[in-house]
Formats: sequence, C-alpha cells, structure tokens
Amino acid sequence: MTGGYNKMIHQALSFFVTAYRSLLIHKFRSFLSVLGIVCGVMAVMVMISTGEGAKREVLGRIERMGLKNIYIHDKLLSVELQEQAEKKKSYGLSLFDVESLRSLSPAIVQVGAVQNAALTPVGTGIGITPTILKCTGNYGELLGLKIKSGRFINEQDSYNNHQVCVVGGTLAKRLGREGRVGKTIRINDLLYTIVGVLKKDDKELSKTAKVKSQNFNDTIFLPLNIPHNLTKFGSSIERYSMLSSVVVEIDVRENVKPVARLIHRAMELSHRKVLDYDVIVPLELLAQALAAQKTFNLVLAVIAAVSLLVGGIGIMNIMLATVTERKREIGIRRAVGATRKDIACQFLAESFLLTMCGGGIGIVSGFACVLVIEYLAGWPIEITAASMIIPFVLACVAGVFFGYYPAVKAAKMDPIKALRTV
Amino acid sequence: MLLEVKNLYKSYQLGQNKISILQGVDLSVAEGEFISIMGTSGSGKSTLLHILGGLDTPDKGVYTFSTKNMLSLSDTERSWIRAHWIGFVFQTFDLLPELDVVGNVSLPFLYNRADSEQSVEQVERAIEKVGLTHRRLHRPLELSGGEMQRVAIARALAVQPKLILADEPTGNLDSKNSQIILNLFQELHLAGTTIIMVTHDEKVAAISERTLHMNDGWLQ
Repeated sequence: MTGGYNKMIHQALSFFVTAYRSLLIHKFRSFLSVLGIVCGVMAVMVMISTGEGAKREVLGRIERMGLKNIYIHDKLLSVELQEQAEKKKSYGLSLFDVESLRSLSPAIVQVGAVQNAALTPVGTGIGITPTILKCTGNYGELLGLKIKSGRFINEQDSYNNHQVCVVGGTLAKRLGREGRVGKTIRINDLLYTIVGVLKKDDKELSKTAKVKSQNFNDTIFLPLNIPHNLTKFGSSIERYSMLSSVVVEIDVRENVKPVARLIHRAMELSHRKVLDYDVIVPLELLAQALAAQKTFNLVLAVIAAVSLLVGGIGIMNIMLATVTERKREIGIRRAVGATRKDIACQFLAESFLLTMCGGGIGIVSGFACVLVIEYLAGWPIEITAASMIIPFVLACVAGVFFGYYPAVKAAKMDPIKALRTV
Repeated sequence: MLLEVKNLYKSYQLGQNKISILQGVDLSVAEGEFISIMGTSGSGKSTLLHILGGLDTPDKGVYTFSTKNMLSLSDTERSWIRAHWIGFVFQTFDLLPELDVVGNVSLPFLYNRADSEQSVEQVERAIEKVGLTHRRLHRPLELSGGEMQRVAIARALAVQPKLILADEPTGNLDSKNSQIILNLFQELHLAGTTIIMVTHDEKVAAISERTLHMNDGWLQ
C-alpha cells in the first residue's frame, strides 16, 4: 500500500516538474500570463494592509478614550445660535452639568471635568506654548494618564484650590531641571508647584473628526476649583464657568448605551434644547468604526474577486492556448499509457504552479508597494499574516478553478487526432 | 492467442460522405509472432493499429487482447493496458523535445504502477539494448533520425510489453538507419516479443514471419 502511496507522490511531483519545465520554455509568456494574478494579489495585499492599518489606528484611538467613558464636549455656537442660547438661559457646559450628571444614574461611577484655561506660563523660555488645562482630581484616572513621578492632581487640590500642577512628559523634558517634582512654574501672577510629571506618550496627535486623539505631552494640568456648596440651582458664576469637556465613567459596558440615552435626555432638559454640547460615546464610535470596516471589507472582497477573476481569465486563456499547442504531446502521453485523469492533472498542476508563482511575486511586490506607501504617504500600515495568506490562497484557488476547463479539454482530446497534429 | 480480432468495422464521417476504412477485419496473432501489415496509404493500416493499441474504438466487431475484451473496457482501463502491456513506435518518432533520452524512455513509467527502482533499471537496460547509453543525457534535437527512432523503440520496450505496435518505423529513415532499426526488431522478435508492424515497403515487410495485405478494408 505504501508503494502505491509513494508512487502517487512521485507522480504528483513529476507533474509539477513537467509543469515547471514547460513554463520555463515560455518564460516571458508565462510571466505575462500571470501578470493579472500578480496585480490582483498585490492590490488585495495593499488594500488589506492599509485597511488594517487604518482600522488599528481608529480603534486604538477610540480605545484610548475609554470604552466605559462618555464624553460631553463643549460646542462653539454661531452668533445667532448664541443669542438664542442666551434667551433660553443656556450657557454651555458648566460645573452644574457635572453635578447633575453625577446623580443621574447609579451606573455612573464618577464624573470628571476639564477646562481649557486660556493662560500661558511666564518665563519658561522653552519655545513652545503649553496647553493649560484645569481638571478635576479624577481626570487622570478617567483618561488613564500614566504618571512618571509624583502624583496626579487629586480631589483635595480641587476642593481646596491648591496651587499645584502636573506637567506633560515632553514639556518636563524641555524644562529640564525646572521641570521636576517640587519645582515651581509661574502662570500669570501665581506660582504653581509641580507635584507630578506624566510619562511621555508617543502616540501621534491626530485630528480626525470626532475621534480626536489626545496626548498631553505639552500640557500643564492645574486643579479645577470646585466650590463646596454647589447647589441645584447654582449661582450664575457656576453656570457661566465654561468647561471644555465632561467625562462620565460608567460601571459596566452594558450600561453605556442606556446611560448615554439618559445623558442625552438630561442634557436636553437642562440646556433647554440648545445644542451647545456634543455627546460622544466611544463605544458607539467603536461600533460605527467596526461597521465601516465591514463595509470596507465587503468592497475589498469585491475588488479582490474582480481582480482575481480578470487574472484567472488570463490564466485560462493561456492554458487553452497551451493545450492546443501541445496536442501532439498529449497524444504521445496518451499512447504511452496516460489516462485522461493524468493529462488533466498535468495541466492543472501547470496552471496551479503558474498562479502560485504569480501569487508569490504578487506578495513580494505587494510588500514593496506597502512599504513605499507607508514611506511616501505616511499612512498607517499593518502587514498581517492574513494580508499575505488570503490573496495567495485566492490566487492558487483561481489557478485550479480557471485551469480546470483547459485541463478537462486536454483530457477529453481524442488521442488519435492529437497524434495526427503536426 | 495473444490477440484476436473478428469482423472489425470502422468508418469516418468526412463532410457528407461516410468513408469506410475497415470492413470486417479478422486477425489473430499468437504470442511471439512478428507480423507485418502492408497496404497503400489510406488503406486503414494505421487505424487498425490504433484500435489494436486501444487508442481508437471500432464501430463494430470483437477484439480480445490477452483474454480481455478490449471493446468493453473503459478509457482508463485501456490506458492501463497501454502503460503495462503495449509499446508504440511511430513513423515520426514522437519524442518529447524537452526531455532527454532517459526522460523520454522513462515516460511510460510515469503512468505505470511499477516501482521506481526497478523502472530505473529497466530504462537503463532498454537504452543499452538500442545502443544509446553514450547518448542518454542528450535531447532529441541533438540526435539523428535513426537515433531518435531507437529512443522511441527503447521507450516502447522499457516496460517489457506483451506487444509492440510499430507504425512505419522506418518511413522517415535512410536505408542504413532503417537496417539498424529492422535489426533491432529482429532481435526483439528473437527474444520473444510479439510485434505488429505496419509498412508499405516490401523489403521491410520481408523480415517478418507473416505478411498481411490491407485491401479495401480487408486483411488478406
């Protein structure tokens, strides 16, 4: 039995050797005939890689926002809308919102807020203008900021209006000695003691709509002062104290959607239907991004199918020509004992080998293409195993699929007619 | 009897005309016989040879080869018989140009269930028998016509067939090379191989034991 098995392997091997030899006889023709497959594989690989890269980037950004967080950003209004808003007594995002959100649902773990303070430090002489943000004590935890040394601003700092600050990684480095814990930074007329330094974040800044990725490398955090007796009605000052954004943390992911709905309704009520805020739910963005990815994948599949179809037809064409050209060889092989199946297998091996080589060349050139794109266009690229294996396998399948008809045609050829061909 | 043919009919459709090639051919060949079939071109000698080799099928008749009813066998089974029991030698040599002598002679073993060590030995012995050991790695284009035909004979006898079918084996050769080929057939015959040879040359036919004539689809 093993002898028969060995014989089969030997036979399959010799089919491939024969195929290889006959492809080598027409090197240039073989190359031209697989060009379609090469381009198809290359295109599919480039598309998968760029798609995967873009997906990773977007997902990464969304995940960094925290999938259990809901953000409410302040929105700048046009002059007309501003008048309307004032008539309705809605004054943008305020500490009052923070306070009312906190008790909105038991699923809300904590609420943080940040205010973009239009301040600049004095006399640092470092050439960059840092962003100064005033934040609540839980902000660092909410955004998952990493501390290199010291601590983040805490609740006590907020409530007691301590004059402390936390500096971003790049900024601290630029400040050198002056950027360490215990040193002070002067902002306007006040001196703030550095209590913490953030780890440098090497994620690039990106300003894609909605999904802004933030890094705080050039930021100075100050405590956002929260008065002790914030009442339900609040004084007009509290109402006016404009926040740039509020972060709400939800206990579990399942609660994110219902709470988001709740927040929408509560905000609509308290702001009297004036849309001077944006509610952003990273979990929903993630779902959207994944849905968009699905559409992209579908488009990709269609393009892949079309390009491989075109490539495959090229293979079929050349294989049909080969079969006609090698009628005599088919006749000789039949005369010495080849069955129809043997002949079919031989031609199938040939088209398979052809597309396999095409797939290989396609992957190598796709790899080069991807690197060039990454270098020239600066797109995020992710070369995964799937981006190489999928088009390669598809190419091989196309070889067998489109080689099938010519192979059957060769097999069905009448040996007598084949032998009479000159 | 190695093979027995009875009342074989074969016709071709050529446009509107039906051309009858074989009209009731009877033939029986004993094991070890050397038979030549003579006839003008188009008399149906080659068609008969192709039917005997299982490459073609007749319209009507009986054909038994080595106790097997050839006409009831499938294409695959007839291929098997060719791969194991029958060797073909053609007028135009019909070697594969991209293969060297060894490759060409080994060709039948690709479709034959023989074990590979034994087949390598058989291939070498066949090449030696036709006296081309020194040319074993040459391609057909580097050989003379006579040498090419010797390769074709080596290919036919390498599997140690029960029957060798030769279709005008000397048709494309000069008299010197023809003689070499005929001597080879003679040797094979003496060694016990059954040979059926088609020719239109009296001198060639003369070396066989029995000569039959094909006339109007009949064998006499």
